[in-house]
Amino acid sequence: MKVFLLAHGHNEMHLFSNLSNCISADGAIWIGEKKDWSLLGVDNLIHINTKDSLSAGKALAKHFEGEKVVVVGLEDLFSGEVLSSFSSNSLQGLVWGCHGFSREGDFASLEKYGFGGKVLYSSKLSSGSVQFNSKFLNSENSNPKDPSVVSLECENNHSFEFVEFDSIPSKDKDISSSEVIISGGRGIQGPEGFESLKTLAKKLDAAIGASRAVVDMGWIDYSHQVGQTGKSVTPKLYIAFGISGAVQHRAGMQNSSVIVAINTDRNAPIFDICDYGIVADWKEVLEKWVSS
Amino acid sequence: MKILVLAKQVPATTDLTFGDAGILNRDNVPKAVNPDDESAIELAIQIAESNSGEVHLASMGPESSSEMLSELGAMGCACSYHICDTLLVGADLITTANVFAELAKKINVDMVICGASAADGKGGLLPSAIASLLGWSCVNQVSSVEEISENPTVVFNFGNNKSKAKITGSCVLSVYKTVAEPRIPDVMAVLSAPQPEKLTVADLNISEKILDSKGRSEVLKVENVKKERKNKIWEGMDSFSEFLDALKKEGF
Repeated sequence: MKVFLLAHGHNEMHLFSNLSNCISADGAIWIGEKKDWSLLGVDNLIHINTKDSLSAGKALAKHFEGEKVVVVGLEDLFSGEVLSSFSSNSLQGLVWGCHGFSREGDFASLEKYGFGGKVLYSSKLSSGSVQFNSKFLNSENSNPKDPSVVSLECENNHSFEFVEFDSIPSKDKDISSSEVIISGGRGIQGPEGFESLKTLAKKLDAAIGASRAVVDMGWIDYSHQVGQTGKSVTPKLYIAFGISGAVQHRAGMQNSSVIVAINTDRNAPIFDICDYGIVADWKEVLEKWVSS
Repeated sequence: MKILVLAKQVPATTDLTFGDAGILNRDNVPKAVNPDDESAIELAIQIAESNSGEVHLASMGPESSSEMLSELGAMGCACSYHICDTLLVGADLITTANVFAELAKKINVDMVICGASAADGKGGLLPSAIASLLGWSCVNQVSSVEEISENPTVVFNFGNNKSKAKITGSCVLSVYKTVAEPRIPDVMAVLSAPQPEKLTVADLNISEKILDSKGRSEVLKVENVKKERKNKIWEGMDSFSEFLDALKKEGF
């Protein structure tokens, strides 16, 4: 089995360098225009110059036909598209959300959480693709090397035309990739509560999350919803302001490294799963924290 | 124009149990429609209404999916398909993508719309796999649609920011629930809703190789995770500095 790193122009190079080392890559695949590839730290590189993720995945399926190859990419959308196209065209496995990867002879041993961190899956894959959650990358960067390059031909098969490309700014920091999340629930008393939370979010470089109750009441956009029917998040620090901690909410955040809860109700279930909690008025805590 | 919309029933509880090979026990678990899917149907109906098209609805899953399809079909779908087969229990993403791609070919649709991700799997990779098998493009994570027509203009997550694109041909769209507010069918619509047509593996062009997910990746172990928490709780603002010091010691 060979292990290839999947890289492209939409993410920072150091993440790929880190991933390359973490999975002891035999080679790398670069999708997009030519770049300085030495930072990937691999001896062999396959270059596919296209913007079309699905066609790139097909080209890889054709190139690796009959070989045992595991392609490992990060959890961004473009990588996901390439990997799902590669796996579906080669009828091989596809495992997403992995945080553990080790080579065991002729297969890769993988670990991932499922159902909002409720269960831990251990699985093996001898050929196919893996999406790795970059928050679990704790390896050193690989040493720079100049790879030998093979270029693959690939059709550009888009049935859509870009009107604007990567240029409409997202209003807010994305909760799925943020290392710190500050969430608000019913306890923050209204949509203006989120404006206050943003002051602390700025200080801690955090994204804003929310419980389902307040999203349903229209206090904040659905893209912020954490929980079973929202996003599952695994930040290093999750701070819950005025969130009671219903099971549906916990399903989306209970796998965070450190959980902090602020609530006036000592009996709120969120206190059962937090590392640090304070029973106090959310606004007082917030003001003191911002000015600390 | 014919549009296929995919819908899924997801567990409406966090009290989940798992059987052999880590397959979720879906029987006797309260279920709900995946949150993005109703909006996917609404968008499809609006697009179909703009060009005298029709919406076909499909779901793969246990018996209970049939009832969901009848309810959702009342929103204004021309027909619905319930794909149910013991050979598909525990189907992985590759099998599922092939099933839906074959259905799209069989009923000859021009567009597929589905939710951006399922509340129980959260991978969000199925739409791209279906598109790739059909030889189509895929626009994922569409958050709004600016022009409802046969060739809609969609705003979606791409790169670090958002992008906008005009759909010019056959395409799979995966959408968030923000794309459209689902309509509530009236009594007449409920009474005249299409009854789901049952389909099995035999009705679709699915080979044994496609069904054999064990040959692809194998789940070795499923463990329940119980994370130990420090559970240090202070009462009142007087202890705020102790609370903050504890966080500082954690490196925040």
